[in-house]
Amino acid sequence: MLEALQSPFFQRALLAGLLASVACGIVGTYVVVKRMASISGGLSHAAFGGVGLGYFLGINPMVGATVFALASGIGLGLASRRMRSGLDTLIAMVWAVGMAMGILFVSLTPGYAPDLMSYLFGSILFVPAGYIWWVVFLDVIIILAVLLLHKNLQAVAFDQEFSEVMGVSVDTVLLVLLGLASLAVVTLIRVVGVILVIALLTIPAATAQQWAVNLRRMMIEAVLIGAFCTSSGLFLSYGLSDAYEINVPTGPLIILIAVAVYGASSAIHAAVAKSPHV
Amino acid sequence: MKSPVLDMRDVWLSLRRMPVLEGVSLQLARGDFLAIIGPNGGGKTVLLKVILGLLTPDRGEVTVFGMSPKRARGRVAYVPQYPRFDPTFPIRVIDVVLMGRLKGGLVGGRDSEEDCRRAHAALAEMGMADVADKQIGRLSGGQLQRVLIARALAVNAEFLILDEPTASLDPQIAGDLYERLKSSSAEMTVIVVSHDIGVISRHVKTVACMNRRLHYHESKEITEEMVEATYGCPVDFMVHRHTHRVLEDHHEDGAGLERAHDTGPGGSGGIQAERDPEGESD
Repeated sequence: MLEALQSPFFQRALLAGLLASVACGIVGTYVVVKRMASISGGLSHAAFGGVGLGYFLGINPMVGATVFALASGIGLGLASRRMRSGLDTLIAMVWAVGMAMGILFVSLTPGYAPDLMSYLFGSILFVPAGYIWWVVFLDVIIILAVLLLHKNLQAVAFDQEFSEVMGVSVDTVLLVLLGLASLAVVTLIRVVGVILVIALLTIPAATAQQWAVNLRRMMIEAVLIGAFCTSSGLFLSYGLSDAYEINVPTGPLIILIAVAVYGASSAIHAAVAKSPHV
Repeated sequence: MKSPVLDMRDVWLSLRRMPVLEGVSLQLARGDFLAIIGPNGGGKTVLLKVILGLLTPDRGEVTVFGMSPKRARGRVAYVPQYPRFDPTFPIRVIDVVLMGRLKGGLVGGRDSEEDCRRAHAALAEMGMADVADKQIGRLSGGQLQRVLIARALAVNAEFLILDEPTASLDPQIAGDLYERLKSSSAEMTVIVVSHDIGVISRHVKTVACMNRRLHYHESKEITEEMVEATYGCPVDFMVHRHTHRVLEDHHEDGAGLERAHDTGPGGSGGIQAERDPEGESD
């Protein structure tokens, strides 16, 4: 198993997983406590439209994905100000339109799109070096934004009305939050694919929420849990292929491991809560 | 000459095509301490939200400190009626109270030592210093309510708006709270919505009745007409006026009018009410 670590492929994959865990742990924390999971699902599928556009225009699909995710996030944020209900439907539309556009653009692109499946289902083992740098860049933006705005992000996530009374620019803070969710979604696209992004964004954070006393701790725990899930998924898929010649994609393994961790954590948490000593 | 804190003139508002505020006018000056009573669904919370700039009236003018309510933000503190937040939210009590020290805008900045000092002082004042580091979901309803009051006190605002702040508090603690508000109301303006008229009437300066319309005579006395207009029937609400008179019984049987115990002349004000006729079920 350890010889895997010497393979540059594997190193790069491990690095991609760890870097994406940083973004998804930090942003996933806000997504979970602010209950934005369905919006994030919409954003990741919207990003697929950008992937398709990237192929069509011959530019890096990750750039297209970032632009599409950000535009959808901000669009949904602006729309939600005007509508009290119906946001749910709008999210579903963004979700489906993103996929539709992605498929359409790819079919219009001459030739074969070799990486297409890796955007849909993830292929962390074959991430290009450029992707790593892109994730580093997005991680830095996310960390800087959170360092600068955490106080207001936390306030708005916890009690939007009171924040508004205190003069916080709630609408702008929400837009920033949606922007961060868009960026985090993009970092995960090659790790687990657009279809599974929502799971890796929310499950580690939801697991952390069971134990954390504050958001900062929840973020740190979510990052660590995410890092554990992505790395163990990688090792597992490498091991299966190495020892038994069973080739399974890494993305679904990562998600299943994350769910298993969540289940174990819930069981332990319930047991601890029942115990009279706490 | 007192400086005007709140000036509402002929404010109308409908929500989902239902009229909620009908021609509400209210002026408050520095140092005023007003209680608003009225049935559930009578628009009390909506009125507070208009003053806070959370809702915009269809018609009429509202100014707070001579400005639009939105511009006056940061000078007004608020205790909401029901905590709407998720009890599993990972946040410690002290961090909730520190929300009372938010700077506003987009970039909030960090808590200064002064912010922390004020937050801890406000918690201590509500007798909650020992739960500062607990996660918010571990508190009981009464403790949570005291934390939310502490959060509003931490603002150190000139204008304090409380929506049913004592609904789940012991009468003793509720009384202490109102006494504290009364003692600081020389430099502060306070509006409190409450069903707890028995407790509140000893502390506030004036009482208004609200049921879409606001009945307010800048006094502490609640007249029969105010009660009638506000609650309609059945009236389960007793008013002692200058004599120990009980409201006439209404025509419906079983209207639930309770006999008042004579409390002797004087008393603490014009009102002795036992509870809200609508109860808390709304």
